[in-house]
Amino acid sequence: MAAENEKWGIAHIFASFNNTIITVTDLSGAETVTKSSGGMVVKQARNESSPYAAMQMATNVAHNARDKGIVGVHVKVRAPGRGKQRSPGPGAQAAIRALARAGMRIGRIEDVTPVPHDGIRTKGGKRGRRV
Amino acid sequence: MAVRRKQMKRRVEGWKAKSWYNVYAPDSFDRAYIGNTISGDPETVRGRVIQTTLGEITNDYGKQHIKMRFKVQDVAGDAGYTEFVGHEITKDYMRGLVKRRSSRIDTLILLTTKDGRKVRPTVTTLTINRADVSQAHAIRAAIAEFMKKKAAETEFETFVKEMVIGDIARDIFKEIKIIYPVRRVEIIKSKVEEGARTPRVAA
Repeated sequence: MAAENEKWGIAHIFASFNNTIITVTDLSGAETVTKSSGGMVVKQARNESSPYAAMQMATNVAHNARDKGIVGVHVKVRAPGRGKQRSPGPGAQAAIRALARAGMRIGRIEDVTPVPHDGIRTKGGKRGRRV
Repeated sequence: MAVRRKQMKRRVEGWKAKSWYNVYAPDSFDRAYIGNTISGDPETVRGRVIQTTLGEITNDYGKQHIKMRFKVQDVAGDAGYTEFVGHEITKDYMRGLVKRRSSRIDTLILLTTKDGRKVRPTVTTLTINRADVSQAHAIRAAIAEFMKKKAAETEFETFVKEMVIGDIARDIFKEIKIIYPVRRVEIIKSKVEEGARTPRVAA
């Protein structure tokens, strides 16, 4: 698909309700190109997972990756999974959008949330979370 | 401040010192170009696993949902040559196949190919209506028997190719539709077992 002189990477986007972490690696996933997390762009802990933070992170990451010669990324989105929620947090969408806006070419987008075949009991107890 | 600047500079140099390696698929997939990886030392490139889709290496866009895993075995110059270590169907594609009120019958079998390599595929059968347990058992037995026979008379490379492309799944479909009406047969996953890395002499 891609020409041999065009370098592609993988953007691993981990989006929980408390934070978003973007790590760009090479195609094997063994070498990290650049990474960023919510705390690097916002000051308040509760904003770490916000779409705004994700946008800032994605632009920074895209900039760094381009400096290192990466023209496009395949995206692997991931939510906490396992015993926790399986749908990605608010930052995922925004991050992918911002990556594209920043001039990164986007290849495959895939959900890689770890889903157990049976797994553990979700937290909260029998009667649910009582607020 | 000065220390930090020095560190920054060194890191950039670390990246510059590394070089790119092009990674190619095995001979059975026409040595298609998979992608590239960066490393400071050719030795560390060996053993890395690169994932791509079957659609990408065969230029067939109908096969984008099959994820292939290739492990780098040899490094020559700036080229890495790989070996097939497994495949998997994407989660969303699989989700689309599974439906209510019909059975999903998974079969896991450890197979030994003609040249002594061990592969563990997962064959998933989706029936039209919900199957009884006895029917499910019969289907599993039939699949296991068919796969064992198939593996025993096929070389590893051809076996992998037929498995991934779907020839084997089609043959299984014909075998088991007489047991119970079947909607779909897919080999959703496979793993090449680590133990049989060194190919034994074919009997």
